[in-house]
Amino acid sequence: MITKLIKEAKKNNIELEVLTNLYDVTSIEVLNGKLKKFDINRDKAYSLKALYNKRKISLKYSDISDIPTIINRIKSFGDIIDNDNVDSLCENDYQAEEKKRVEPDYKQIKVDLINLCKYKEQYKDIVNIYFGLNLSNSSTVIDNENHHLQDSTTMIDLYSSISMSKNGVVKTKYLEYYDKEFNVGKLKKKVEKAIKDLELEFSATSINTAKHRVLLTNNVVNDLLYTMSDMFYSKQIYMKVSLLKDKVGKKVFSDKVTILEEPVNDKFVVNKHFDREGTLTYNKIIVDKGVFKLPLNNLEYAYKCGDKPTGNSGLLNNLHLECGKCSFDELLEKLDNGIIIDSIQGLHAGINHVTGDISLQAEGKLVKDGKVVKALNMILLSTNIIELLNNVIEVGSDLEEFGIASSSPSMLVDNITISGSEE
Amino acid sequence: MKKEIKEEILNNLLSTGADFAEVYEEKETSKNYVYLDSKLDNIDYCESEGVGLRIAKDDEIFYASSSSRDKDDILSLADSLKSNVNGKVIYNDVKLNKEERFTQEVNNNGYDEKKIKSYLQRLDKRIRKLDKRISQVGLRLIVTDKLINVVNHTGINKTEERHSTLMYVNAIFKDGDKSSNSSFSFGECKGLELLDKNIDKEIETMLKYGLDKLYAGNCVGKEMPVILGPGFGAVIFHEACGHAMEAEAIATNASVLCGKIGEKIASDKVTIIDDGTIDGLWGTTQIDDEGNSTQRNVLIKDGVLVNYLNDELNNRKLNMGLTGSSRRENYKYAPVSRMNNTYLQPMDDTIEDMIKSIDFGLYAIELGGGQVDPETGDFNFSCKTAYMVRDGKIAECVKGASLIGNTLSILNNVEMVSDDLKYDVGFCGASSGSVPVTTGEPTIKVSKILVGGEDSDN
Repeated sequence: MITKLIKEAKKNNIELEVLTNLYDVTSIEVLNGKLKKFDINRDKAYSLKALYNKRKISLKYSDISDIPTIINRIKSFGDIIDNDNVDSLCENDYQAEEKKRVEPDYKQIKVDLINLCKYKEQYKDIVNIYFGLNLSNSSTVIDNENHHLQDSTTMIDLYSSISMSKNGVVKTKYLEYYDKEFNVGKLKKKVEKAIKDLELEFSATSINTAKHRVLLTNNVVNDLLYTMSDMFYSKQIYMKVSLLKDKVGKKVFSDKVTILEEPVNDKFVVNKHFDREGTLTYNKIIVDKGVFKLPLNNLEYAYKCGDKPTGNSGLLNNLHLECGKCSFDELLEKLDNGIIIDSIQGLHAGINHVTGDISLQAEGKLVKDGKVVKALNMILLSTNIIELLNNVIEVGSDLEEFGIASSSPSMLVDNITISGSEE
Repeated sequence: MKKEIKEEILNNLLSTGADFAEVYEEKETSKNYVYLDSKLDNIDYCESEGVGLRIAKDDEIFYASSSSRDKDDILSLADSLKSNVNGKVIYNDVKLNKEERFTQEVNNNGYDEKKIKSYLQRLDKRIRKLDKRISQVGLRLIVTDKLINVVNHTGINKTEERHSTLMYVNAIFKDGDKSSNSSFSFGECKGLELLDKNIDKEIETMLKYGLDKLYAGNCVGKEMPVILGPGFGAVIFHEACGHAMEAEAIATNASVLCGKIGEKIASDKVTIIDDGTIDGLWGTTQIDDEGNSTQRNVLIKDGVLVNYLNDELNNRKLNMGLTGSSRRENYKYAPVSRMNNTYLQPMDDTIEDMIKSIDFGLYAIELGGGQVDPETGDFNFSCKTAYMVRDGKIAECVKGASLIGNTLSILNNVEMVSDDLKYDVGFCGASSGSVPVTTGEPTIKVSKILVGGEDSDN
C-alpha cells in the first residue's frame, strides 16, 4: 500500500515519504497486591511528508487505503499554505540488525509486582503501594521512492507510587525509570529507598525564603534539562524565542557544564539510529565546558541556518550532562551546609521557556555539616535556568536513565533561591 | 463495525466469565492551522480510528486497543484479553439495542480554507500593529470532528458526534534583553462560527499584560493573601479538589477527600459544580465515554462535600450512582471518571473590596497550569500574570510567581467570591489521557497561600 501511495503521489507531482510507526505495548498495573489493570495496545500510524508546489505538507493517518482522497488533500493544502519549503526527502538507508524478540513472562512479572506489595504488611503506615509496568516494542519504518530505513526498540518503563499516612497526614513518593528488561532486585532497592525517604518526610517543614547552596539530585536535574531542552533547537533560535539565540560559540553556562546527546551509545537503554526525517543520528556535544557549540536541527532549520542536520527531527535520545568525578556522597560532603532538592513538581507550568524563569514546588532535605538534619516540604525552587547552569560548582558521577530522551547525574549549585515560609 | 460484529466481539469477550464487556469505536479528524512568522506555516492534518475493548471481573480490569478495525484482528485482541479471566459465564448471547445517535449542529459560517487563512492573516497583522515591542505572533486554530460509538454487555449502543474549535493567540514581547509572552485562547464545542466572536477585549488585555510583564520584577516568596483572577484561576479548584473527587482516586482510597461526604471541607463561600451539559462549552458532551448521559453534578455545596465524580467500574466499589463523568482521550485509553466543565459558583463580593482588604499580597490575575497529588492534596500552580498588592492597591507586575498549598487548607481559606464568573478552556491530563475541560471561576480572595518567588523581602 505504501509503495502504491508513493507511486500515485509521484504521478501527481508530489514527492512523498511515509513514516510508519508500529507499537505493541503491554501494561500491567498492581495495587496493594491485586491486579488493577492489564492493557494491550497495538497501534499503527502513518505520518506523511509531502513536497508539493514548493511547500511541505504533513499529514497523519491510521489507514492509507483511500489514496485518491489523500492525494487531493495534499494538493489542496499545498495550494494554500505558505511555508517556503527548503526541505527534501530522506537520502539515507538503514536496516537495524534483526533481534530475536524474547517475550517476557508476564505472569511471573505480575507475581513479582504483587509480592513487592508485601511491603504494605511490613510497614503498617503504607496506605497504598502501586506498581505499573509497560513493556513496549516499537518499530519505525521510513519509505520514499528511493530509500528505506527500519529500526526497532524494546524497553520497559517502570513506575510506582507509595503512600503512607501518619496521624492523618498522607505523604506519597513516586518512582519511574526505564530499563532493557525487568529486574525485580533493582526495583526492590528503589522501593526500599523510597520508603525510607517517605518516613523521613513526615517530619518535613518549610523554611524561609533565602539563597542557598543546593544539591539537585539526578532526577531533578534530568527533569529541568529535559524540560528546557527546547532552548538548544535551531528552530527556537531562528524564531528568536530561544534563551540561547545569538549564543552559538559563546559561553552560556559554567565551565562545569558539558551537555551531550548520545543516541548511538549502546550503554543506554534505547538507541535511535535515525530521526523522523531519516537523518542518521550520531553522538554529539551540544554544550562544551559551558560554551554552546551545536544547535539541534531538523532538515528545514539546518538549511535555514546554514548548518548540517543533526538527526533531531522529532527526536531527542540520551541527552545528558557529562558526568563529573564525584559520587553523590562526595557531592553531599561538598554541599556541607545547604539544601538537597530531590523532587520538583509542576514542570509543565512552572517554567517560562521565553524568560527561563523557574518557580517549582519542591521537596528536599536540609543539610548541616554534610549530614541530613531534616526533611523539607512546601518549598519552591525559584531561579532562572541560565542562572542555575552558571552557578554549577560540581556535576556528579551518578548518571541514571529516566527516559528515552534524557538522563542525568546530580549537580551541586550555588546561590539559588529556595522560597518558603517557616511555621 | 456492524452491530452483529460488535455483538460477536462482546459475546467472545464474555465467554470466560467476565462480568463487564465494552467495545468502543472512534474516528477522529483534526486540522491544526499553524500561523507563524506572518505565514500559514502548516496545516497539520490527522485522521485516526481505532477500537478499545474492555472487560472486567470483580475488581480487575483488562483493556486492549488497536488502530485496526479488521474483525479478525479485533477478535485476536479479544482472545488476549479474555484469557486473563477464568470463571463461570455470567452473560451470553448479548443483543445490542438499536443505535441511539446524538448529533451536534455545526455552523461554519462559510469558513473554508481560504477564509480561515484570511482570518489568521488579519489577526496577525492587527496584533503586530499594536506595539513595536511585539517581536513574534503565533496563532493556532484546531478544528476537530469526532465520532464515537460505545456498546456494552447490557445492550447499550450509543453514538455521538463531537465537533470543536479552539484558537490560541500568543505574542512575544522584546525590549533589549527583556522578553515576555502573553496569550489567550478561546474554544467551544462549535463549528468555525467561533471565529466571528468579538475578541477586542482579549487582545487589549494580552497587550497590557505582555507589556507589564516585560518590565516585571521578581515576586516576593512568602505566605500571603492572594486574589485569583476569573476564568482559568479556577484551575486551582480543578487541580486542588476536582481530581481528588474523581472515583478513580476515591475507590482506591487514594484521595485526600475519601470518606468525607457530608463533611464541611471548605468555607461557606465555596460551591463547586461540574456540569458536562452546558451548551457549547469546551468540556461538554451529551454522553460520556461509557454511553451514560452527562449531567450537572454539585460536588461541594456551601462548603460541604456532597458528591464525587463516578464511572461504571469504580461505582461497583462506591455504589453512589453514576455521574456521566467517564472520559478518555481516545480509543487507546480505558475511560475513568474525569471533570467536564468545573466551576465555582459566583457570589456578591467585589474585586475592589478584595484589593482594599490586603496590606501585602498577590493579585494572580492569570494562572498558568498546575498539578495536584490527589492522595496528599498537595498542589502547585504557576502564575501567568501577577501583580503585588501593597497597602490596598495593585502595585508592580511580578514574574516567576507560583502558588503551592494543600487542598483542604485552601478550600477553607476562600474568604471572598465575586460575581464575574468566566469560563476558560484547557486540557486535563490523567490516566485516561488528555481531555478537553473548562475551568470557570469568578475572582476570589484566598486568605493565605504560599507564594514562590525569588525575592525574600517586601
